[in-house]
Amino acid sequence: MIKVDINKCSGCRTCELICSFYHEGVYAPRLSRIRIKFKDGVTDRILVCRQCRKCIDICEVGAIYVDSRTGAIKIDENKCTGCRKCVEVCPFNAMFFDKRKGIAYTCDLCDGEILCVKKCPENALTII
Amino acid sequence: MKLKAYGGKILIINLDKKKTTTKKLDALFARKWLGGRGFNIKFLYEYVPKGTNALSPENIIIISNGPLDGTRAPSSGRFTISAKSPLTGGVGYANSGGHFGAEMKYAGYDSILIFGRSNEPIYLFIDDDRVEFRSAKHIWGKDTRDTDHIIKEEIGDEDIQILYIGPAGEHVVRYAAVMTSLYRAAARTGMGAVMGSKNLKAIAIRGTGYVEVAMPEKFEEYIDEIIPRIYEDPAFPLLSGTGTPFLLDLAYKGGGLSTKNHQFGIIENFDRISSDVFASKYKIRDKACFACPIRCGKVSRVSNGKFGGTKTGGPEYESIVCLGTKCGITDYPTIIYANDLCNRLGLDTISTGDTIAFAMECYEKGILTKDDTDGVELTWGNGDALIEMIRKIAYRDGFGDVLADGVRIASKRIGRGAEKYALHVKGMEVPSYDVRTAKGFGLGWATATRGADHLAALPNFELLGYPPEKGLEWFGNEKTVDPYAWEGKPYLVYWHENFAAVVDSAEMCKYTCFSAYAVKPQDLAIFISYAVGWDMDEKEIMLIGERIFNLERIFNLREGIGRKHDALPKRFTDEPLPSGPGKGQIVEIDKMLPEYYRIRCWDWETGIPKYDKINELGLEKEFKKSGLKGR
Repeated sequence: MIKVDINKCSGCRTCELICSFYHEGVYAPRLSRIRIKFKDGVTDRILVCRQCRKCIDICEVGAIYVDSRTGAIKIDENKCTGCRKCVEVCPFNAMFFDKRKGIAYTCDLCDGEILCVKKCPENALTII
Repeated sequence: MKLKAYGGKILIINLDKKKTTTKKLDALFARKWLGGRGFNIKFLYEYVPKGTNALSPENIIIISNGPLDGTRAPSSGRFTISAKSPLTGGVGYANSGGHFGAEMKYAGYDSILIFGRSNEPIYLFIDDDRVEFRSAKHIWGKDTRDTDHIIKEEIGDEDIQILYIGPAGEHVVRYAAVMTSLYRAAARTGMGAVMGSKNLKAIAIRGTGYVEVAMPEKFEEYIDEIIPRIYEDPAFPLLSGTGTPFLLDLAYKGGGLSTKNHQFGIIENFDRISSDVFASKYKIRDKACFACPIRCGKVSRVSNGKFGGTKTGGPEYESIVCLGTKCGITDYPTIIYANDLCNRLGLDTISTGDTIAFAMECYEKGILTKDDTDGVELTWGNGDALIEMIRKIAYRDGFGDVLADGVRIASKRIGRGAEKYALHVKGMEVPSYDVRTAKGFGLGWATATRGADHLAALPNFELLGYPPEKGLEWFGNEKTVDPYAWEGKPYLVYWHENFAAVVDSAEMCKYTCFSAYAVKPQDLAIFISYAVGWDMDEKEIMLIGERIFNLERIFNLREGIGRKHDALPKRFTDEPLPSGPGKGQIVEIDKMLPEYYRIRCWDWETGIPKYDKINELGLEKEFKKSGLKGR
């Protein structure tokens, strides 16, 4: 799981950039699986999956599961119906919805080396 | 085919008709002018005819980002806003960080051109392809912070980015700033006044798209190669830790800490204002601009006393000097409060502080009295007077109306010899480092296209204590590392001006390029090549910079701003510094300027670029249109 130290975050959004680059091949903060939310100009909170598994429980088609190798929450794109129940239930607002594909998506821990953690210039992100 | 890394679209907005059109970005145009400041001067030159009143509907506003905006390239999320300047009458532009530049790219735009004037207060909401003209009647008069909150609430999205003006822009203060991301300012040359004159309160933007680069893997690898070089920069820990206030210590040690309207280069009680005091007592956290590993931005707070509870972005070095020591003030709470007030009212802290410092010197010399200043005692060190005058300027209230036009116009209105104390170049107030102790900066103030401007050249090379051999190796003269020396500075300034123009057009932050020079011209060429898919080299990069600088020059020349305006106030050329390490120093501008003109290939008498240079830069068409007579 990715742990966030809000006080260390400078708000540069490197995490959003590297996340969308790795997953989508382009720079697109609105397709990132980790997002910085600002208040009064500084980082207020960082939305990222905490692996509470509430999404797994609510998914009616069994599209969401835990990856046995990485421990990350994964979504089976073929099973996901785009009902958005997981998006609504997520207590951390860390389940996102891709309007183009019509499916939900969240942090998959990059299937290995976690890039937002690696590239954060402030070391505000750690793996626990 | 759409160019990689660019947004691909130019948005043209007509405020008179409330209509918009878009056109495609032309690939040849992009390669010739690159982006940001380069696009802006080309558009400005084409669309703003000679003699246009900067505050009339005929002036236009142009906002451009650069090819690196929206990517992870370090410190690359900036933008430039340009218009004819109501402060100088020449080229106006201001550059800012924050997150607006990147968001604009995600909405698909490289440039936004705004024509005409709305007949009532409005703001724009650019939502990807859709543009809304929204009434701003209910936010006209609000400060920038309230404006930010109200617009985000109204649109119902806290992730949008906004540019806005405060009351100073609404009242057409000639040095009103455009603010963004709450604390970032596109401050200089009065772009806020131009927005105000158009009844344009704000521009909100939401971009849900993406940026795709031509060679993604190579581009990412290069980012990872450059970032450690930024970390090795000796200025990095200072910028990152204390922020720009670290320059206070450098200026004080060099005898160039501008004090009491530049009468002195050192101040008593420096220990009250050194950067340690800021870092230990007032700085509460770091705040980065988009994609920036340096995060020189700081948030500060005053916890108790008269200004207790004040929390704001900054103050930056320039603001501390202009609102502080230039006015004889060394009290951080006062400076932080004054800085916050400027941010909220939408004022350039440099010109604001300078204008008040100018009035304080007039007061000291008996040129102004309480009868002139609405009863405000403009004595050195009077923080209450500073704050009162900032308010009066923003609302053009009483004597504030005189100062709201900047020192050049104000000194003429005041008369009685006040011109002597009006420190400006081409109408723009001077920045903070006393250039009698930094001669390259002095030349840079004189030759910058937007007036007294430390950022046009930013020849930090002379300040950083490099060994003479490095001066010889890099800039052909050992003296280029000596801030008190004038020798070798013309070439130093020429090189820095050209590189800065292209950095401003790529929209990278100068702090990656102008201290340890972590990003050199060849590095920028590589970044842009990997991003766009071009095969650029150092030579092409520097040529683009020189082209941009020269077209700005031609814009100014067309307005009658030329050779005789490339001059410094007499204080810096005729009055030796009276005390401190720089005692006896002046700026030897007469020795530097002829050599600089030779290097630039500008005619010594007229200041007009010679035909050889015009041809080399591919500016034949533009030059012909100017009506200027070349040689």
